[in-house]
Amino acid sequence: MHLSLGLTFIPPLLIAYRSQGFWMTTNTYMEQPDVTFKKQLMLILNKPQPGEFLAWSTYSNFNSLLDQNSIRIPIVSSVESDVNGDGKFDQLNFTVSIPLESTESITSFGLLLIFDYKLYRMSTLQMETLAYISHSSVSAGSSFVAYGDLRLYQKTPLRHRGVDTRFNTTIVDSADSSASTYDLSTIFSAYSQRNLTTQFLNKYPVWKSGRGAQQPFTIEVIISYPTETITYQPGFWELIKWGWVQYVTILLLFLWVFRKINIAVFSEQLFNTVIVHPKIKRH
Amino acid sequence: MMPTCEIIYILLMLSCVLGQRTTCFCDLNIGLCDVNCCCDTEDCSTSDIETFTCLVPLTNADTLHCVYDQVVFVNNIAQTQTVRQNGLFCIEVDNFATRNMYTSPACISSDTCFDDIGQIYFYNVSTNVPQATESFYQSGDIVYTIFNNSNAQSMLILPSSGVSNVCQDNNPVKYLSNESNSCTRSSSDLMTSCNTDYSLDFAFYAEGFKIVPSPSLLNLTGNSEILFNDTELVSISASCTLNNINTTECLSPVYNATTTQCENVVTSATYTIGTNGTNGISSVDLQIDLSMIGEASFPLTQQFAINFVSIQNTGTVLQLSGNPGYLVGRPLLTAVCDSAGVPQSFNSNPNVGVTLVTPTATGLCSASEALTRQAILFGQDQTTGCMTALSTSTCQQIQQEIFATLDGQIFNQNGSVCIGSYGNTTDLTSTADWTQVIKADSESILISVTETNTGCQNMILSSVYEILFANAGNISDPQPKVVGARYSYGNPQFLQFRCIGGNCDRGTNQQRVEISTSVTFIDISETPVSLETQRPTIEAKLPNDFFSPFKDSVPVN
Repeated sequence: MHLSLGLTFIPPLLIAYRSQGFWMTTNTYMEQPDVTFKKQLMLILNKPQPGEFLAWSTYSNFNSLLDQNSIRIPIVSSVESDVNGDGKFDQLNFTVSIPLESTESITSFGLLLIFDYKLYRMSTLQMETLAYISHSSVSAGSSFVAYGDLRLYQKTPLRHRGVDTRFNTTIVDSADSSASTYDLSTIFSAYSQRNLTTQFLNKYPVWKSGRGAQQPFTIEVIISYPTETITYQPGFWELIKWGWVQYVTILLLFLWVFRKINIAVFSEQLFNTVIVHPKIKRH
Repeated sequence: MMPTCEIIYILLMLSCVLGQRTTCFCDLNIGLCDVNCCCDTEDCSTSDIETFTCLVPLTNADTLHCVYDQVVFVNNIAQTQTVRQNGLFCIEVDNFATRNMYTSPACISSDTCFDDIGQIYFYNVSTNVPQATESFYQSGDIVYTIFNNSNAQSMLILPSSGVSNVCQDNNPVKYLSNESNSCTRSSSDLMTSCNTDYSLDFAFYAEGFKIVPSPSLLNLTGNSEILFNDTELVSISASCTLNNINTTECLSPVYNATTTQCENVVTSATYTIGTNGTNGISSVDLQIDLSMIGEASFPLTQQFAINFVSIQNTGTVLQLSGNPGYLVGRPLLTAVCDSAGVPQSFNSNPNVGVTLVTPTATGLCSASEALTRQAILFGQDQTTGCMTALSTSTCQQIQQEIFATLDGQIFNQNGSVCIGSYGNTTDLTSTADWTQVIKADSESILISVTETNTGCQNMILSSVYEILFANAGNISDPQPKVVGARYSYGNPQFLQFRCIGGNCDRGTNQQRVEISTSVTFIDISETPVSLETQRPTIEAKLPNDFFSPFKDSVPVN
């Protein structure tokens, strides 16, 4: 009888455990992030002459580091639109137009845009992220257009609840005035270490050459904020729930099988058994 | 017997062979011994074959379809290999041998065979030559032209930038679709270009061809082709301005050797096409701007535009920025108001009004009127700026210059600026439709500017327009309405005269300061929230002493 009980209740656990995971360690959900362009940017344009460049940023400390001939203030324009009217922005149209002299030309550029990124459904996450758009060409350009998505890149799963502001720190420390702070490699080395980052992906860059004299160089970037599949670590009760669901479904099968076996064994009296009759009332 | 065979066939699907080939598959040269082809006994001697590593065909001619325990891919010994295996899963009798063979297609050679295949993809450059089929032009149709040379039929073009920013001349005009392009023309030698480059000559855009007013002309004439001299064709009436001055006649480019400049070069061309319903095109006007161009202006940027206007519309055209709410990307409607905020007159000057500073090509600020300021477009957050050089003037003078750069011309008058609440605000008399821009007082700031030995204190270097808008109307069709606007200055800063190395003279150092203007649109729409009343509570009254045994205080009588 004890053997039968043991055979009924232990094997379902073993089967559930051995069949690729009893405890659900990670799970996923989908959510459209609440993204806002922080109106912070850094723009570096390289000229074909080695070492010559033009740059500008919304960080005054960076601008004051630049040589006066290297700083060129562009015309920046941005429109964030909520296409489906759900209260979250779906797209950013970002345009920057850099005035250039006829003798100047641009063969490559790097553009850093800073975003505020929020998630609400499981853990309440807020972080500062960036999109880096760059292109280089052998021929001097007149305009650049790119269409892409701001995708979330996760190295570790999120927590299932709580407030997560681990990465709500400034990517570019605008209070610092040293040149190394604004070096792109410094910015990227710190940023790439983060467990949660965003990237400008799925891009379709178009570089056009043939700039007219006195015409500006224009960069247009259309960034979508797509719905993301986010991995998270389930909480205790979710873990127990799915463990229970797995165990009980197999257990029900075993209960049924062993009941049949028990009935067969005991009714056929395969072993020596003592039949205990219900007590007879004695008077 | 048949079903058994089929079952075995399914079991042995993977090991089945697809035919009984007995030919030597590696014998690809007749009259030459194929290397490593041991079955090429016709051309190879036995001593040749001994030196070979024999290739074994991947398919073999085993009719039994046995499952093999061992597979030999390469036989590198001289002995030949014989497979002898007869197990349980071998097919002894195959009574349906044809299933191993391809069936030959039923359809062999007739046109319908190709039609029956379905969708076929093949390499083919699509050749879509637009043909006049309709009896009148419809929107999106190309506009036909007849050339003076041999009465050739072509289409009206409007140069456009394409793969690069260089003009592509084959861009067809689409009927009733207004277009505006700018593209560049390059030149390696100005004198040669000036004399030979057709794209710089007005005649390329205006002469030598006439417009076909309606495609019915092309159809109705049948065999007799339409000719350049036919009176039905519409000729282009071109008018030119030379260096912004109207000229009586249009001139072709001439190279001026003394000034080394090319005269009468086309910098812009604008077609205005009058249309009259199904009767098609009634008139074609062309406005061309000619300029004197030097070598430095190349690559030359040319502007092209085409506008279709119905001949019914003869009055002046007023462009709205939305109807009724503003559309994103359309300019803000502005009017000059008196100090009380009552609109006085419309503002059409792009340099006056709610504008941002435009940097010059060098990045420096410019007080020149020729450089139009940047217009504020609804919904577009913008930032612009320029560099101004610190002069030897006093700090207050510098600040005054900076204010002039930041503000533009709007606040120089004894009034204020108003912004139309809706994109279709055209009524100056209704004060409620206009929002006055609240402006920070620059005079009081100017007083607080103080001069020290090291720099200027309390300097203002930036300004910002904050424009509040809210959606109005039905939720399903939101109409943005401007409800408030403010123009304010950035925080006062200490402008330090910077010394780098030994160079520290304020006048000659040419220290440059960044000045920035920006605009931000703030959505303060309040979405209506559906409120639910509280659920009605069920007033089921129980007798007072219903729970009395469980209560602490049992009434004692």
